[in-house]
Amino acid sequence: MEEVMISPVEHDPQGQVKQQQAAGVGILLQIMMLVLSFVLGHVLRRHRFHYLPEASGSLLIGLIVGILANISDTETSIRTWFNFHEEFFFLFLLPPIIFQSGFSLQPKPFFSNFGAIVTFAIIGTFVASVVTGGLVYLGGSMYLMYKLPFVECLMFGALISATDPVTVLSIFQDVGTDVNLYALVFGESVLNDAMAISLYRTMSLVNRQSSSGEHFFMVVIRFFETFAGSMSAGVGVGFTSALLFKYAGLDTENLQNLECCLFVLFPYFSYMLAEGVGLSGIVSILFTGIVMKRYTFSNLSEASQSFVSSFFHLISSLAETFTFIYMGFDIAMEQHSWSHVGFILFSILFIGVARAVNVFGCAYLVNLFRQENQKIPMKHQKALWYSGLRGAMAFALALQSLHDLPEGHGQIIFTATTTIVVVTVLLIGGSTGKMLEALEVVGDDLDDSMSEGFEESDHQYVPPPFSIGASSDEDTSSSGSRFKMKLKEFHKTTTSFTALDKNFLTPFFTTNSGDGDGDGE
Amino acid sequence: MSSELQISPAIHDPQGQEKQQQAAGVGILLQIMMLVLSFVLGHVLRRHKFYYLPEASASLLIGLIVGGLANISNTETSIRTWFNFHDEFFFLFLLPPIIFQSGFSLQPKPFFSNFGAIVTFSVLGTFVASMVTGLLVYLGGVMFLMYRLPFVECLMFGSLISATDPVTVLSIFQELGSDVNLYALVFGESVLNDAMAISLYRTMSLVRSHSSGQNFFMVIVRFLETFVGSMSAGVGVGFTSALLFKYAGLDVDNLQNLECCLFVLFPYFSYMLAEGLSLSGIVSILFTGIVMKHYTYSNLSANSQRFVSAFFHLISSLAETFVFIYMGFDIAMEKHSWSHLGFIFFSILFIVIARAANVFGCGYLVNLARPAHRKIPMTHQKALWYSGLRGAMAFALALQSVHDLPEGHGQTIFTATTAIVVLTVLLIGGSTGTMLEALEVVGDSHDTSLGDGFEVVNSRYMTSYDDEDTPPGSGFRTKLREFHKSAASFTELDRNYLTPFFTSNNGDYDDEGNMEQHHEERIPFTRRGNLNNRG
Repeated sequence: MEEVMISPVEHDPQGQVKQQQAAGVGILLQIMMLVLSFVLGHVLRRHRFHYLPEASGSLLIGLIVGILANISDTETSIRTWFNFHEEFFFLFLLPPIIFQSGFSLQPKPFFSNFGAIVTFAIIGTFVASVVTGGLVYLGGSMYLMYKLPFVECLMFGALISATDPVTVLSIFQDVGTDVNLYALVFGESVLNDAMAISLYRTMSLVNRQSSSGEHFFMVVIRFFETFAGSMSAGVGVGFTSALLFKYAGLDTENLQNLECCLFVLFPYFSYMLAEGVGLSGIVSILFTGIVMKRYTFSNLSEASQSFVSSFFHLISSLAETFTFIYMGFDIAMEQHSWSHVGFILFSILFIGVARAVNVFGCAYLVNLFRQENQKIPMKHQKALWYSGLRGAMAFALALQSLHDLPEGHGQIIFTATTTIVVVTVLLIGGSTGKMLEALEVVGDDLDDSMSEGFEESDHQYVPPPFSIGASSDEDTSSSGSRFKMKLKEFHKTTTSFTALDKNFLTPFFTTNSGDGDGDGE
Repeated sequence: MSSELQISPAIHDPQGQEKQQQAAGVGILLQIMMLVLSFVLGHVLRRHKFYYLPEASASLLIGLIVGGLANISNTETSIRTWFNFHDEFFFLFLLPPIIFQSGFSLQPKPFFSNFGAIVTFSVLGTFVASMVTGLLVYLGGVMFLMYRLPFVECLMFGSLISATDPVTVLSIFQELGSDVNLYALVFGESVLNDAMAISLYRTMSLVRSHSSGQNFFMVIVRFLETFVGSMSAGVGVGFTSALLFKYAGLDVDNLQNLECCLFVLFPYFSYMLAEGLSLSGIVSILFTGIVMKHYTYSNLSANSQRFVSAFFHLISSLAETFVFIYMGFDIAMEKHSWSHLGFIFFSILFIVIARAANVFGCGYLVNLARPAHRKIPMTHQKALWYSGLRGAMAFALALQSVHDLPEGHGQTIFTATTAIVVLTVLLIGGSTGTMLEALEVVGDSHDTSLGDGFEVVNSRYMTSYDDEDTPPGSGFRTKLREFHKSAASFTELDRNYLTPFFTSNNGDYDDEGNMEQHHEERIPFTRRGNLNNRG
C-alpha cells in the first residue's frame, strides 16, 4: 500500500527495507496503544470509575500520543500509518462493528420496541438532520456563523446526526438499566448510523447534480430505494447462509473450522455485495447480522456457536477500540481551521436542539398510539436525548466531506465535527453514569432486569394478535384520525411478521424446531 | 487505502470517490467469492478422497482462472488494483497469522525430540541448498547454458527459492496419516526454513547494496545476529505475556473477551517489534507462538483456551487460502518475460539437486549422531526430499526482488520463481499422496499414530541418553551429542524452573503437566518394555 508512494525509479533495497521498518514501528505503536487502552479500560471498570469510559480513554490515548508524535516530529513514513483513511474505516473497521450490533441484538426487547425504534431512527434522524441543517443555514443567513450553502448545511446535518452506540451502551451495561430503555438507545443508534450515511450520500448526490434540478421528492424516493435494496440484499444473504448451513451438513465435529470460516465470510460478503452494487453496505450487513443470528446461528454445531459469537465480539471490540484510538490520533495530527469558533459553538447548540426535536417529537408520536402502560416515560426520553454522543461515523463522514466539498467548507465542517466528537465523547461519555442515576433509571443489575424484562415484554408481546386487535378496536372508537390507523396498521404488520416467523421462516431456515427453540422462545 | 493515493487531490469529484469505494467493494466481493469457492471445493475434494488436487492447488487454480478471465475481459483498473499482490500486505498481514499458527499448533513432543535434526535441516540445510542453487545457476550462466546473472544475484535467487511451503504437503500428511517423526521433520523443516530463507535473502540483498567488499564472515555474523535477536525478542514477548496472564487474574468468567483480545494482540506485537527493530518478524512470531502455547496458553481460562486455538486456526486458514488465491490471480495478471525458458528449465533442475544435497547431506550428518535405532530411514529422507514444494514465501520474495534488482534480472528471477511455484504446487501437491503410498510411510490413521508416537518417541528419547556411556566415535559426534544433551537439559530446566514460574498452578496445568508427570512415572516401564521388545 505504501508502495504506491515509492517512486518506481528508485531501485534501492534500503528504501524497501526502511519502508517495511516504518510500517513495523507504526503498527507496533498502534498495538501498544490498543493494549494500553484495553488495560486502562479494564482497570477503570474494575474500580467503577465511570467518568472515563473505555472509549473516552482510547480517544484520549490517541490524542496524547498524536500530540507527542506531532511535537517530536516523527518521520513521515511512520506517520502515514496513522492517518485516518476513511476507506480503511469503511471497508475494514466498520463492518465488524455494525455486524456485531445486529448479531448481538436481543431479539425480544428489540422487536417489541420495533415500531418506536424505527420511528426514532428513520423519522427522527431525518427530522434531526433537517432541523440541524435548517438552523445552521438560518444561523448563516443571520450572520451568527459562517454561511454555507443550503445543501451543504443539510449534508452537515446528516453527518452530525449519526450517534455512536459504543460508549453509552457499555456504560448502560455496567450500571444496569431498564431493558426497554436499553433496547431503545441501542436500536436507535444502530439504525441511525445507517440512516445518516444514506442521507449523507443522497445529499452529496444532490449537491453534485444541483444544477439539473432534481426535486426533493426524487431524493426521498432514491433514499428509500437504497434503503430497501440494501435491506433486502442483507436479508437475502442471511437467508442464503441459513439454507447453506442447513443442508450442507457441516455440523460434524471435525469440520468446525470450515463451518466457522464460511460463517465468518458471509457478513463481509453481504457488505461488499451491497457496496459493489452501489447500495449501503452498512444497512445490508446490519440486517444480515439480525437474520444470521436468528436463523443461521441455530444451524451451527454447538462448539461453532460459542466460537462464532466470541469471535465477532472479539473482532468488533478490537475494531471499536482501534477506531477511537485512530480517531484521536488523527485529530491530533490533522490541520484544523480554528477561525470559525462561532460556527462550532452554535452547531453544538443546534444539535442539542435538533436531538430534542427528534427525541421528544418522535416519543410523542409513539406514545400517541401506545397503550397507557406501555408509554415511554419522560425520564426515558430524557435519557435518550442525553445519550446522543457523536462518534466515529460522524468523523468518517466529515473526513469524506473534505473530499466532497470545496476546500474551505469541508475544512469547517470537519473541524466542527471533530470538536463535537471530542466534546461529546468526553463530556457525555463521562457523565452518562451520573445522568442515569439522576434520572433514576438505574437497575440493580442488568442481567436481572434483562431477564425480567424479557418475560414482561413477552407477556405484553406474545398474545399480540388479540391484545393489539382489541386495543385497536377501543382506539378506533375513541379517536378517529387516519394517521393513527396507519400507525396501527404498521404495528399489525409487525405482529403478523412474528406469526410468519414462527410458522414459516423458522421451520424453513433452521434445522429442527427443537434446536430453533433455544432462540425462538 | 492504496487506491486512494492514486486519486489526484485536485479532483473534488464525489463521483470518483464513490466509484472508488464501489470498485473496492466489487474487488473484495470477488475475493470473498473465490475464498468461499475454494473452501467449498476443498471440502468436496477432501470428502471424496481425491488427493490429486489438494486445497492449496485448487485455490491457486481458481485464482489463475479468475485472473485469466479478468485479463481477457479487460476489467477496470480500479478493481484490478485490489488484486495486485502487494508484498507489503503479504508480509504485514497475511504471513504473521500463518507463521504464528505453525508455532502455536506445534506438537511440542515430536518437535523437540527431533529438534536437532530439524535445526540441522532448516539452518544448515537451507544454507547449503541456497548456496548450491546459487552456484549452479552462476555456473550455468558462465557456461552459457542459461541467462547469466551476477554472483550475488544468483545467491539471492538461491535463497529465495529455497523457502519451502508447509501448507499443502502437511494437509495431505494429516489427511493420509503418516509416521509422526516424518511429520515433525517436514513440518519443522519447512517452518524454520522460511525464516532462514528470508533472513538469507535480506542479508544477500544487503551485501549487494554494500558490495564494497564486506567479507563472507561478516555476512554470517550478521545473519546469526538477526536470527538470535529475533528469537530472543519472540521468546521475550512470549514470556512477558505468560507473566501478564499469570498475575493479571483475567481468567474470571466475564472477562473472557478482554483476555482473548490481549492474547490475540501479543503475537502481532512480537512480529512488529522485531520488524521495527529491523530484525526478522517471522522468526520472532514463530518463537512467540511456541512459547505462548507452552506457557501462556495454560494461564487462560478453559473457555478462552478453546476459543483462542479455534481463532488462530480460523485466521490462519483464511490467510493461507487467501494467499494462494491472491498469488494465482497475480500470476495471471503480471507481465512475465518468457524469453528465458532455459533459465526456468535449468533452475528447476538445480533446485532439485540442491534439495537433494540438503536432505541427503543433512540426513547423513544427523544419522551420524543418532543411535542405530533412531536413524532417519531412507524412505523418510526420500519423502522429505520430495515434499519440498515452493509457495507464497518464494513468490513474495521474488516480487520483492523485482524492486530490488535492475529491471531485467528481477523480471527473470520473478518469472522463474512463478513458474517453479505453479509447477511444484500443482505437480508435487497433486502427487504427494501417491508418493507417500509408494514409499510406504502411510499410517493407518494420523491420530492414533500421533498418540502412539508420543510415547514411543519419548521412551526412545530417554533411552538414547542411557546409551551415552558408549564410547564416542569422533570429535564431531561428541559435539552433536553435547548439543543433544543441551536439548535434554533444556527439558529439565523447563520442567523445574520455567513451567512453575510462568504458569499459574499445577492444577490448571494438568493438560500438559500431567502428561509430563505421567511420562516420568511411566518411563521405567516403557523403557523396560522397549528394551525387552528389542532384546
